[in-house]
Amino acid sequence: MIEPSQRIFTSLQTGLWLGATYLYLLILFALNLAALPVFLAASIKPPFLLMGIYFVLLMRADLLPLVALFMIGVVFDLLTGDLVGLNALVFLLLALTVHAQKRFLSGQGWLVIWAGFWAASLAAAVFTYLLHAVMALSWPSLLPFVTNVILGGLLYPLVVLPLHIFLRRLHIAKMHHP
Amino acid sequence: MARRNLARSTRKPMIHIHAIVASALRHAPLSLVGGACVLMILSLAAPHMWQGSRISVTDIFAPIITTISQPFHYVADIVGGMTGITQLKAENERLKSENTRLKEWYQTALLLEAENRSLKDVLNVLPDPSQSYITTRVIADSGTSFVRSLLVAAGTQDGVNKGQAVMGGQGMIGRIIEPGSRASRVLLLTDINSRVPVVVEGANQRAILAGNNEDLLTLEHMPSDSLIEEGARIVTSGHGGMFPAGLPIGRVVKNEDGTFYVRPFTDPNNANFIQIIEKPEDPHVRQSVDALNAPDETPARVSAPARPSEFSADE
Repeated sequence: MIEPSQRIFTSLQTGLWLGATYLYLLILFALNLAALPVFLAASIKPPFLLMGIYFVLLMRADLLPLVALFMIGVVFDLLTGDLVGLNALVFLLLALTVHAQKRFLSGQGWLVIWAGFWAASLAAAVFTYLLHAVMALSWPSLLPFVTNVILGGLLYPLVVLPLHIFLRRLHIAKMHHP
Repeated sequence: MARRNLARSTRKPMIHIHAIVASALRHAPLSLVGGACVLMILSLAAPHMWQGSRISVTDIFAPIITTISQPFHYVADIVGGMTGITQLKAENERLKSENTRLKEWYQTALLLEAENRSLKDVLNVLPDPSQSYITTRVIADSGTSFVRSLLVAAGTQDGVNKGQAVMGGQGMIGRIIEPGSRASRVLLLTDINSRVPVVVEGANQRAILAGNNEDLLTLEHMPSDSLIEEGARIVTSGHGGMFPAGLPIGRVVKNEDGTFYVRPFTDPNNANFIQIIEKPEDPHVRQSVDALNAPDETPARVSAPARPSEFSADE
């Protein structure tokens, strides 16, 4: 029998780690847009938001329902000035792919999950690149495209580390108060 | 019997709504993917449709983005300050010599300005409207190399309007396309949708400066026999009345294949602060409108050609 005070404490803990997860996703969202005072930051920017979304979808897909992903994508497109619906489509396709491969990915080690992100990031980048090439009727520069994929892949473990901690804490809190 | 029929008739729409909701939930992934595709097609077909939404979303998110990027700017300032100390001496020496050189140029500029003013007085040239600036910080970029735009922390509240030219440290970098109330979007010259009427100084050749999502800009609508030299300055021509004439943009560079490109004076990707040039009141237009509005004491020059019928609402 759980005591009421302990129940409140556990609920608070759950809320805290849930809030931290969403706040971190918001930071990743803003990082993808912010004009960072870093060399070549405007043209070369790793897909921070994609990293966060991929990780949360793998670990706790229920935290990011499809409608939320759609809305995040649309708002992101409105802010970037890109085609409206493009990132919404990318995030939805990512969610559906992760959902389809979840049984395979859930039993795998860290390296396979990391490789999965490389594949997802590359697929998203190729899709975006081809779409822009069709729109512009010319091939956009390959350098930022390739750099973003490589940089994103390399930074992935570092960027999702806080998310890993938050989701683990959330899992522990849930276990104490199912 | 009648009551039963009434109950059935009131229940029927509920069943339909339930069915629609259930069907939508069952097919949610497909519906959302389809919705995203429809949005993309609409965005391609009618990009202006999204302007209002973009401005609203930008106004909402601008403070969040500014807050989140603040620590990065703070760290960059500290790092810049620390590394700057070692370079300070060399920089100081360079600036001293540059200052001496600029002082000489300043005297020359004063002489030329006085001469120019007196010549304009002789020719009775109407003075160009004076320009004022709004200086502000860049808060966000497009985050992708496929779209070249910036978000700046100034909006209509600060006097920003659509179409105003945006200057970097040494030259023009773009123009305002979506002014929000607190933040605005700048379309950079390097964006594939950017077109600006320009003049090649020296050759006095008009052209259209076009972006292509690359660092170098292209000159379009140039005659094949135009005499352009590498290193020539590119400035705005002022045609179309969108931008003031003479804003510096960049310098002509020659490619290995012989084609000419323009390298902007300011790299828009590294701009932290920008200046928005407020559109000046055109003294010519103001005079004409004032003249038309004046009832009797209209100067002869305006009323003589019997033009009022052209402006009357009846015709």
